[in-house]
Order: sequence, then C-alpha cells, then structure tokens
Amino acid sequence: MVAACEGIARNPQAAGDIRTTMIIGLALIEALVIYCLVAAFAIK
Amino acid sequence: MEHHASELAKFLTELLHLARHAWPGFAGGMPLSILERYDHLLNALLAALTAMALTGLVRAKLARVPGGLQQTLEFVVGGLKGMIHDNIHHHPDKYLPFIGTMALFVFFNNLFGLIPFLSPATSNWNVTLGAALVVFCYYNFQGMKEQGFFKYWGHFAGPIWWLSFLMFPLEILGLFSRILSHSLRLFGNIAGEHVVAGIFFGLMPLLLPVPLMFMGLFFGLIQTFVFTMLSVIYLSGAVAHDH
Repeated sequence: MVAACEGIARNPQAAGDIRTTMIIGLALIEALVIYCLVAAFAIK
Repeated sequence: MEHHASELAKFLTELLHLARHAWPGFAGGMPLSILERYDHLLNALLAALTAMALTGLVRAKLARVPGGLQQTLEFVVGGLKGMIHDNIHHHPDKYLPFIGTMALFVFFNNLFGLIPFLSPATSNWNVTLGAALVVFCYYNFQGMKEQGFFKYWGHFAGPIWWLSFLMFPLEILGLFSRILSHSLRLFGNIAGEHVVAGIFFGLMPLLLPVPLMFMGLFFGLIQTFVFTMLSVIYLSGAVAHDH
C-alpha cells in the first residue's frame, strides 16, 4: 500500500496501472484469509 | 455445513406445492424440495437471464446517441477490451466474448446476493468451481490451439532439459491448483460477505446491514474484476507467442 501510494505520488500519470496491480495484489493476499474462512466452514 | 435455501426457493416451493424429502448425504437429511436443494442453480439462472435480458435489450436498440444503459454497457465493454488488450498482444479481440460473458455472469451473480429474498449463486462452491473449470478448459484449449499440443505442454517442462523431470510435475500441480484458488477466492468472498450480512441482519434488521450491503456492492465488483483479471492473465500466459 505504501509503495503504491508513493508510486502514485511520484508519478500520478501511472495511477491507473499502479492501482490495478495493487488491487490484484490485495486480492491475492485476501485470498489467504478467505482460505482460512473456507477451512473454518469446512470443519464446522 | 448446513443448508440455507433462499427465501425465493422456499416461496416457490410453497407456491407450486413441491414435495419436500430428505437428500442422502446432504444437509443432514433435512427435508428439502428440489428448488431448495438446487437453490444455487435457481439463483444462477435468474442472474444469467437478467444479464441476457439486459444486454439483449440494449443490443436490440443500439442508438447512435446512447442512453444511460447503453453508455454503461459501452463503458464495461471498453474496460474489458482495454484489460484484454493490455495483456494479450496477438488477436486480443477474439477472447472478448468469452471473457465478457464470464465477467457478466460473475458480476450479476455477486450482486444478486444484495437483493432481499435471493442468495448469490457464487456463494455456492459448485457454481464458482464450474466457472473456474470453464475458464481453465478455455485457456488450455486456446493455448493448445495457438501453440500446438506439444509446444504448449512442453512449456511446462521449463527451459533446462535435465531439470524437466522436476519442473513438469510441479508446473502441472501449479496449473491444477489454479482451479482451486480461482474458485475458492470468489466463493469465500461472496459466501463470507453473505454470512456476515446475515448475522448483522439477525442482530438488527434495520439500518445496521446497510453499510455491509454497500460493502457487498463494492466487493462484488472487486471480486468480479479480480476473477476476470486473473482469467485474462491465465489466458495471456497460455496463448503467448514468442516472436
């Protein structure tokens, strides 16, 4: 997140590309949390 | 995991006087009608029909000066086109119909969870697994079509021939685990969101679920974006040419 903010601040024209990459990265991180949730559902 | 049928399925069951009976090995033998058992298919069908009707309506009367709905859909098609063009450099436009269909299907299914009395079909793993499998088959097929059977599967052996006995199984494992991650991400997000919204609704039906539903709107869009983006990235990896 910090790196994305810095990147956008330094080069505002690349904001769109940076945001896309950041969202994909966030989704991949979030996926790990979601796997935990799914595992919790599965063993309930 | 216990089974929560949508209110729509329950209502239709009462309306049509459908028989309820226990399904072996499902929901602990709870008596369910066929609509309640296959609730996700009912909701998926509803979402797909809505998407088809909406796009068909706009397609039937395309105007030179677009109205609100046409403008929205033009924006969506433009965005998808841009996404595909950014990642695939060789005949990108021929993948647009497939990617667009998947995006619309996933999007409408995600959003149908926000409508009262419906449950999102994507909160059932069967639906997201189906979507992920379709994407998986599609990009492997396109990869084989673009590069040829042996060249496509040869890529999985890696660049160093004497390491290929190690690389090939690992790459194949990675290829198949994509199905799992692709489907579980969408399923977990939408199901989790729906469960949390349901719990908040149980605590206090008035006002409290509103911010969560707003978040659901946002996450539905983000998850559609991620699903589509990953499909495009997998596809671009499969059909990449070395010029």
